[in-house]
Order: sequence, then structure tokens, then C-alpha cells
Amino acid sequence: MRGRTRHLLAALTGFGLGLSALGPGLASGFVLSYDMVFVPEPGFTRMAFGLTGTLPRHVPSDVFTAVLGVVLPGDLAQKSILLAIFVMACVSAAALVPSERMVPRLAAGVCYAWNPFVAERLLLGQWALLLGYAALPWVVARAARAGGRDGVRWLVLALLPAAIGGFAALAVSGLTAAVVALAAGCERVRALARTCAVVLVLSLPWLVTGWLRPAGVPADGAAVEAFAARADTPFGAVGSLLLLGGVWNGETVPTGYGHPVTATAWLLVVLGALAAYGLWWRASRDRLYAGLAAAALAGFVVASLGVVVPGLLRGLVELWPGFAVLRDGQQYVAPLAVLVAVGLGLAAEWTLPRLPVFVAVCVALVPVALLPSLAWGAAGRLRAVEYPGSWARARQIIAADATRGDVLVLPWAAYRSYPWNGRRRVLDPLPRYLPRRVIFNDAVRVDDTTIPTEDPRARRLGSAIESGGPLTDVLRAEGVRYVAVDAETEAWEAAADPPGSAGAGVRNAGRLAGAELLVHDRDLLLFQIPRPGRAEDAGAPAAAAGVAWIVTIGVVVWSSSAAATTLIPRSIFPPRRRKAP
Amino acid sequence: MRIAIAALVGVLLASGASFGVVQMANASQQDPVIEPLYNYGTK
Repeated sequence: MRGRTRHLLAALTGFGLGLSALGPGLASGFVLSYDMVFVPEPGFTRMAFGLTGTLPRHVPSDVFTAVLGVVLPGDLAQKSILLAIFVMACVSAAALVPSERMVPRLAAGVCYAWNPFVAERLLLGQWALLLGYAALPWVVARAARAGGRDGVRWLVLALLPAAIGGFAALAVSGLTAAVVALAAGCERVRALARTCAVVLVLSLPWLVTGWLRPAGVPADGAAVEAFAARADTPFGAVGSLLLLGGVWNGETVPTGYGHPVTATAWLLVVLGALAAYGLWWRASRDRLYAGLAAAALAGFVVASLGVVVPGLLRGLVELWPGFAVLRDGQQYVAPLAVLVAVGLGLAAEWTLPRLPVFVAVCVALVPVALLPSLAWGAAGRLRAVEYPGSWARARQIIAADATRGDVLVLPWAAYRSYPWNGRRRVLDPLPRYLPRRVIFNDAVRVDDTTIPTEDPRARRLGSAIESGGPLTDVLRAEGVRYVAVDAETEAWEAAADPPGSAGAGVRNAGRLAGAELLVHDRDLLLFQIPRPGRAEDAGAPAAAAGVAWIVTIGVVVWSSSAAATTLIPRSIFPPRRRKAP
Repeated sequence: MRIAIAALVGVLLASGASFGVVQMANASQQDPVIEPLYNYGTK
């Protein structure tokens, strides 16, 4: 099968895997899981561009969802992105298998789209990281030829999904591309220089806003242990990383994954894939695949740092805060996942002439059989829900209010376990849901470790909120117009009561005296504070961010002239020379 | 030999799939119990 037909088959397989994995998440509504937050009307707010003084972790992925939100309802945009991840992963991995046969290519595609890495990161809600992961095989192919003609343009296009994903996705893809360019490039120094330049240009939207943030970039080495890989199989943390699992969060391990029997079977599959890859490379000596092996090894070493030498990583983060991007180590096993997928494809290729086709098909389906709990919305853990009606009312009230002022969200924490979301954990969606600047406590708690808040305005308000004293004057001075309480609402119902009223003595009574309760619902309370003061965010200059966006978009547009409209080349392999007659 | 390998692979796949389906069915019946309320996660 040649040309685009084979990509079509891989795309259809990826689409089927996506449908199967998302299951009930494809129903009407939003899938809200940990960092995955989509809202009905995402806006082009200052927060979306990283101009509010917080660290721009959500740049430019929030802008991308806002752009999609212009043409699609928010929930459809979410489902499109999630399905696109599976389709891209399957197509890109299949294209990297050096075989003309369909079964080996699909074996690689299935393995790359359906493995512990995808399952754990999907449950953790890191769709932006998965967007970069899905395109990583294209990045590998293009980085190996970055030194050649049109190499830069193709590399920009291959890195575009990672660029949309933001700093974590681009860190993983950038590291992979740099190692591949250095190890496999035709002209290594030129290829490496070009790759670094491309990664730098695509990083500008978040790099500029993060760098010029007046509060600087925090250096917190204490979080190294919190985000280091953990053992989710009987083979320890490093062994779990080899099996493409080992995510730091024990709550996002797929149900049943890590059972000694299935984990051992998966270990044999991974070792078999690595052996098939090694044997094939020894015979072919193809530099592209040497580059991929080097990138997988480098990624594996980086992923293991937090487990094997946490002191070194802590020291690096304290030396330069930028190294904090290495804290969540497991994400760097992504290039190893590419290698394992290609290796499994090569194993299927080996079996085809020697054993019945049935066996090769079984090899292709092994990842699904060993991780069935990714199916049906990760065994029911990814479900679509609707936002409560009270949230929509609050949004309307705030949008219709002509008085300036920001919104404060209580309780004073970043993550929630709403009853209307099946008690599943999620980053508070209000900052994206409401059409104003929302101040919330972005401190993150993992077990007993707390990574301090990074928003300067939240830091200023934190002590007053936690003191238990009156808040109205403090909030007014900080320019807060609304207070939204979206969890444990019963504890704040008497907050607006005047001092000395019947509610005195009740928890939080009178803390918002003088405020007016506009929305009173089990799921949300919305208080309005009269005559708020003015307070400005100490964010990066908008002009500098604008220049960064113009440069990045300009380079992407220039690159797209290399490929007209498609990211999918007919073949990643150079055309074979025909012998002269 | 080929038939033996095919049978072995088939049995392994079927047992893995059935085990997973049972786990999945059990899990989808329960709401997750998440404590403490406001954490990002637990190790």
C-alpha cells in the first residue's frame, strides 16, 4: 500500500483507538481531569497570553483553545483535540517504521497511541503535552534532516503541535530533536544549530512572558521529590520508566496497571521491541534510527534523574530555575516510547514471513490487550459533565457588569473535587470560565509538599485569607470586585452577614460584610464587593509579548509554504535512486 | 510450532483482555474517593 492510503489506514486506526479510549468522555459536556480544563467560551484574555504575572505554563495552549472556540463549541473543541492526539500518534509512529507492509506499521501506531505513558498523561489531563508527544515521530524524522534543504521549514511544521502544547511539550520535543540532529544529522553542527534556533523561535510566546515577568522565575528544589517518577509496576521506579509508566501521581495510574502478571508480560513486549530495534539497526546502520536510540537514551537518563540522583536535580534547579522543566521526569520517556513502538513494528515485520499473519496481528494488538483499562474513558474515569447552571449565571452577571474589578476564588486552593464532576480531581476551571482576571491560590500540594504560590497578587492576599479575619477592605484595596466560592459553599453562606447578625459565630460569618450575595447555589456563591479599588497586574510588557507572537507566527507561516497545507509527508524516507538502465 | 505459538499468544491475549475487562467493570461502578480534597495528587 502506498502514498496517502497507508496514512489513511493508520489515521482510521488511531481514530478508533481514540474513540475507544475516550468512551463516555465523548458524550455532550466537558471532560475535566486534573490539568485538563476546557470551558464553553474560552476567551483571548490577558491570562491566556501569560500577561497577568503568573508563570505562562498555559501559553500558548490556552490561546489555541480560544482560537478553536471561535469556530467550535468548547466541548467539541476538546473532543477534537483529544481524538487528534490519537490519530496523529498512530499516523506519525506508523510512518517511522521502515517497512512497506501495513501490519508492522499499524503495530507501531497502536503501540505509540496506546501505552502507559498515554494513559497516565491523559488521566493527568496533560493534553498539551500529549499534543507534542503525538507528533514526536515526525520531529525525529525531520530533525535527522534539519541540516538539509528545506530542513528548517519541515522541522518547524513537525514541532508545531509541541509548540501549541507549550513549554513542557516543547522541552521534550526540543530535547529529542536536538539529540537526533546531533547524532543523525548529515551536517551535525548545522543541524543542531538550526534545531536550537527553531525551538527557540517556537518558544518565544511563553519564553518572553516568563522571562520578563517582574516576579522572576521561582527556584523551588523541594518539588523535585514530589514530581519525580514513582514505581507503578513491581520493577521499581526506573523499571516503571522503562515500561513507559512511572508518572509521579499515584492517582493517575490506569486501573489494574502494574499487576505482576500483566506488568511482566508488558516488560517482555518492551524488551522484545528493544531487541528487534537493536537487531534491525545493526543490520541497516541507518543514522536516523541511531539518532532515535540516542534520544531515547538521553530521555531515559533525564527521566531517571529525580529518582536516582534527586540531589543533583535539586542543585540544578537552585542553580538556575529553568532546570525546573526537568522535575516531572517521566515525560522525557516519550522518545523511548517512539523507539519501543518502532521496535514492536519491526518485531511484527520479522514475524510476518515466518509465522501466520494472525501472530503478527496479535503482536500489533498486544499493547491494547495488556492495557485494557485505558478503554471506555480509562475505565470510566474520563466522563463528560456539564458545568452547573449557577456557573453560567455568574458568568452572565460578571460579563454584564460595567464596574472594573477582578474575581477572587475561594476556597484558597488550586484543585477541586466537585460532586458534579464525580469527585474527580481537576484544576479549578473558574479562571478560564469567567471573563475577568481571576485571582486564585496557584500553590500546588502533593502529599505534604507544597509548592508555593507563584502569582504575586495571590501571594499578597494569602495571609489575609488564611487568617480568618474580615476580608472586604483587603479585597477592595486589591481591586477585587467579585468573590466566587465553588466548593464547600455552606461554609461561606453567612460571609456577607453584617457583624452582630444572627449568623454571628457561624464559620466565616461576616468576613465579607458589605458584599452582596448575587448567586446562592449549592455549587456556587457569588459575592459582589461595592466600590473596588484599582490594582494592576505586574506582568510582562504586552508589546514584547506581541512581538514574540508576530515572530513565531511569521516563522510558522513561512514554513507552511514548504508543505502547502499538510503536515503529513508522503514518505519520510528520501526517494530511492533507480539504477540507470 | 506456528500453531502452538499462535495458540499461546491467543490465550495470553484473551486472559489479559478478560482480566482487564473485569477490572474496568469494577472500577467504573465506583466513584473515586479523593482525599485530601484540594491536593494535586498523591505519590
